[in-house]
Amino acid sequence: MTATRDRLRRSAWAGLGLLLGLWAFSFATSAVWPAALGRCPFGYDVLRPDSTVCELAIGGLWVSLSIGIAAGALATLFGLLVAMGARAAGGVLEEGSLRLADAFFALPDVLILMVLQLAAQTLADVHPGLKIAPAPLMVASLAAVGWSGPARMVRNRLATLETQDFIAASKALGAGRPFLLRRHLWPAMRGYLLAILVARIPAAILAESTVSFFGIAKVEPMSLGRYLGTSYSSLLYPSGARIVVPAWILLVLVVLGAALSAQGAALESE
Amino acid sequence: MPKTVGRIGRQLAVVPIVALGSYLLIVALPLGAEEDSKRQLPPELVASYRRDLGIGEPLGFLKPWQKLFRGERLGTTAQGVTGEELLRKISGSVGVGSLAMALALTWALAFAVLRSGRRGSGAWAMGKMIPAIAFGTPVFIPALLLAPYVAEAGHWLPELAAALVISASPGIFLGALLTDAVRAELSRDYVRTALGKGLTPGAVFRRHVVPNVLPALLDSIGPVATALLAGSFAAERVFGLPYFGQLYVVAVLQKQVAIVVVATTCFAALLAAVGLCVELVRLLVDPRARAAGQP
Amino acid sequence: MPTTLDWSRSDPNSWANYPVALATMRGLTTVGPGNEIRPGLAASWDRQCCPGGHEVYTFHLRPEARWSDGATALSAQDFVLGWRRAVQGRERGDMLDLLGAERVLRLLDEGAPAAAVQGAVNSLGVEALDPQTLRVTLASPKNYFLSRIANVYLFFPAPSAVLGGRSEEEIREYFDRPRGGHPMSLGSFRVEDWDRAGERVRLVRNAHSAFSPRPDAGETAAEVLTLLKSEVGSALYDRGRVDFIFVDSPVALQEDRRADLHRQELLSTYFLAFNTERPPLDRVELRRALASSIDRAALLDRLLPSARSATALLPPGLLGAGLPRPMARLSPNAATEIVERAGGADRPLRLVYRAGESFIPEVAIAERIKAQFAAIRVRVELDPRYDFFAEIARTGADGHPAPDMYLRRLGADYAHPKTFFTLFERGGNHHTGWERIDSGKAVERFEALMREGDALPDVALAAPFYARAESILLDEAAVIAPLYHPDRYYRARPRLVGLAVDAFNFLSLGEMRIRKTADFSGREGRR
Repeated sequence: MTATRDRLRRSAWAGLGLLLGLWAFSFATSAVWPAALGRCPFGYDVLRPDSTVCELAIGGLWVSLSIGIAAGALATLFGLLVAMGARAAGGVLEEGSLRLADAFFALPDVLILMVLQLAAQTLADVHPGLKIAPAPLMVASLAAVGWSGPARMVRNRLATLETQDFIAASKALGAGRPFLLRRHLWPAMRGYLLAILVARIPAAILAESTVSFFGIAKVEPMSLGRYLGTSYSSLLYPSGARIVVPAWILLVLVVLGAALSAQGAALESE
Repeated sequence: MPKTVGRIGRQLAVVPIVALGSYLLIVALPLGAEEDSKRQLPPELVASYRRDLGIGEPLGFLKPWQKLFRGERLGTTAQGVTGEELLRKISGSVGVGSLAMALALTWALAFAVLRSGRRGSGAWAMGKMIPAIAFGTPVFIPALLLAPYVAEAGHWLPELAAALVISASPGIFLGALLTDAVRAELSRDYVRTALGKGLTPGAVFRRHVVPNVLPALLDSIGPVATALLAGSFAAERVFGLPYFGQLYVVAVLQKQVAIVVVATTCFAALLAAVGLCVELVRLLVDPRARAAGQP
Repeated sequence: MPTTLDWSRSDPNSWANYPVALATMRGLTTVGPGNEIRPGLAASWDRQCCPGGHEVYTFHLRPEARWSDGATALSAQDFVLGWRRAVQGRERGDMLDLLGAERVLRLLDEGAPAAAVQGAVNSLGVEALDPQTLRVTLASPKNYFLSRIANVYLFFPAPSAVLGGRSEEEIREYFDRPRGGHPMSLGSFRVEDWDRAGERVRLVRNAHSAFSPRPDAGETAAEVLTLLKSEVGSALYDRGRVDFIFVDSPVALQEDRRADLHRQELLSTYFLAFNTERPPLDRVELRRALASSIDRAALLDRLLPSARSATALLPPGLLGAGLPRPMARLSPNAATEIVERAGGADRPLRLVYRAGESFIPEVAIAERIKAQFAAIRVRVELDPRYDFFAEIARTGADGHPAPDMYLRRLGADYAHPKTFFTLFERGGNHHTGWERIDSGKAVERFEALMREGDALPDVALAAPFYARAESILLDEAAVIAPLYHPDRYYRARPRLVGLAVDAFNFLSLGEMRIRKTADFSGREGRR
């Protein structure tokens, strides 16, 4: 068992390392040293012939990861606040917020994302002063879409923790809610929340890629998700594989990194 | 029974929440309320907005449904839809979705077998990599690879291919879940006891493990249906299937807001229907669900 | 895919409607291969010039022409109904040739009461003298008119026997919801079904058409045609599931050239348009600097197998186009100086272009314009839009057109410079605000030159007038900057006889016959 836990812990660090390494490599090569991506074994993109495939795929990776991390963090935070507020309030309020979370959770991310993007773009057309830049809009939309899963998971986790003996003992000794939260619940939840956040990253990138595929959203600067969503059709042609496959492999690596770190982080919290 | 009624109620509550939520979000947009907005948007879109969403009318949120039931068209003349067209497209998507659900269970089974291979074997290693590849691949990529062989080929081949592509990722998710659940059950004491009493592994699996794993499987049907729905948007576009997912995407692109509101509610209703079916099956197969609530 | 089947009411995205419109309908005239005018729905016509300064045509319709139900005869009243609807439709600026049309447009723009508008519409210069005779009165002589009414589907008739007395909503429903044999047609095909979500149109042969192609021995007419849009069009063609495909994807064009790949040079221009009302682009010197600083060769480098740079709005080869226009390119330093002086670097400029698939490499061109303008200190924000035509028509909160710049293609509908200039007339859908430059004097001179040229019977003689009008648009007011003249690539099975794409980007579906072979599939598609 200990060997398993050690192995999972090592995998978790490897996963986190992979994610951070990808982000750092992408940011460094696109923002700090762009010339590095100018010579690319995959050649130039066809739709954007002034950029190499590396510039677009690798260069867009940090944008997607940043959006994913920001959206994941926001969604997790919002989910945490809703769950904690619901648990604290209890009764009808808790039921109501759970039903709302169920409604969001039941619908596909992509669908709600499309509606939110439609609403935001239409609003920006009518009132240009209310226009939000594409990247923050995508982060906000993904967070608005992704909070329900964390809310449900955190609420269930809190409910489970609160039945634990050490919580009951602490309450019996006179501990108030803030103390319980700070000393007992937060340490127990930390790893779990990290696992939830990390698990949201690939989901966010995939959702962003899908809405870009439909042409409903266009993140600027070019993100990996948008690049994949707009260049996929090149796969139909023999010479097109070099355009799509690198971006695809990068996305698979992100998923791998997220899965490994989420597994390990969840284990830490148990 | 009260617990089951509660669960059913939770499924159904999603529909009015989504219906009202999507309606209020769209209506909250400052379209058609002031003279200025008529210059901001094409006049026929503004007219369709006011007409179809019952702006300013009491119970305006029922207006789009009223129009559909009366056989009237929702949206602008050139791009709108009638209730009959909507139903036709929903039935197409439901057909593809049902096929995809069955295929997802097949993928799940195949993946579970792969993962249960000997540790360190090639199959076991593949079982580790496959989830990353599946979850890291947007639906439109495998759809595009398969589409040249089946698009316009008729004989329901595009629908079958779409179902295959949509079901892969949720199926693998289901397979991973099932494998973990089965492993957890197999390590329980009662299984060891049953084997010790002389039951064959097959009998133990059938009589003890499967009934205990079924609730976890049923719980995951909802999220799987959601994932299938998400995948259908892209798959229908790539395979050229003129069903509900494609209708929704076109409505969003054309800013046919009334259709977006109605379609969002229809999706919620479809998923609620799936949830209801799950509860019915749970009542049939899980004695604990039947017994819950009884004194 | 079409945006509407209502050819009278139309849609600003009109080029997408032409394939279906031309396959199902005909005009009063047709244009032959040498641009000569031939009879169409009108068997003959008389021209009277110019009582009261107007030009009058009297068209004598073909007595044998029947709508696709086989029973309803073509009537002059069909044209009256169609043109009266068109003058109130979404491309009504194209109807300005007719006497009385200007008054209708003015009343509509002013938001006049419906009764006043209807009164003006009833006075439009089109009347049915009897069921077989149509009289058309033009506001002034137009040497292009007969060529225009051949292809511009706004001038096609609508079945008045069926539509007379119906409300506007019912008429739109009639056209845009095909069923039960409607909308009726006069051309070789009729629309049987239009699946918007599925992006396909199904056409069936119109057995009662007076214009059906006459198959030779060994040929047959197509009974059913399906036009569809597909993500995998080229693959479908390679597998024999479709028989015609437009090759628009740059990736596809970079693959090995196939023997059946055809290239057609279009009478078309892709240009950058400026919002002449909102600062800083209200400064003409800035617009001129931007227009002349564009390196067109670099803009198109490596995008297409071949590309024809444009310095003129009128493409070479267009009748009446005149000599090629040289354009000296402004050096980056000089351009930067003008930009800074005119406040061009004060804020980012929003450039709108059409999102989605197109045979124009819009993404690459837009990004290169952004890069080129960045080199002269002008910041550009790119905004690709699926609702492109709605967006450029939209008015911003400041009362000016919403975008600062937009990229657009304009193609000839007929062989005359007017086809390009109509967009920029008062009432045209240019949305640049240039009609208000110099209190409207610039557009007045532009239209005066057009009128003088249009009044000459020979287009070649009118070329200098059109050249001067073009110069007002491009040099003096610098409303647009032409970029290149697009080409269209397509692949077609050799057994499809008579099917081609012409310089107007029209697909000659109406002329198509099929050489009989064993494995014909009878479909065509579009990528």
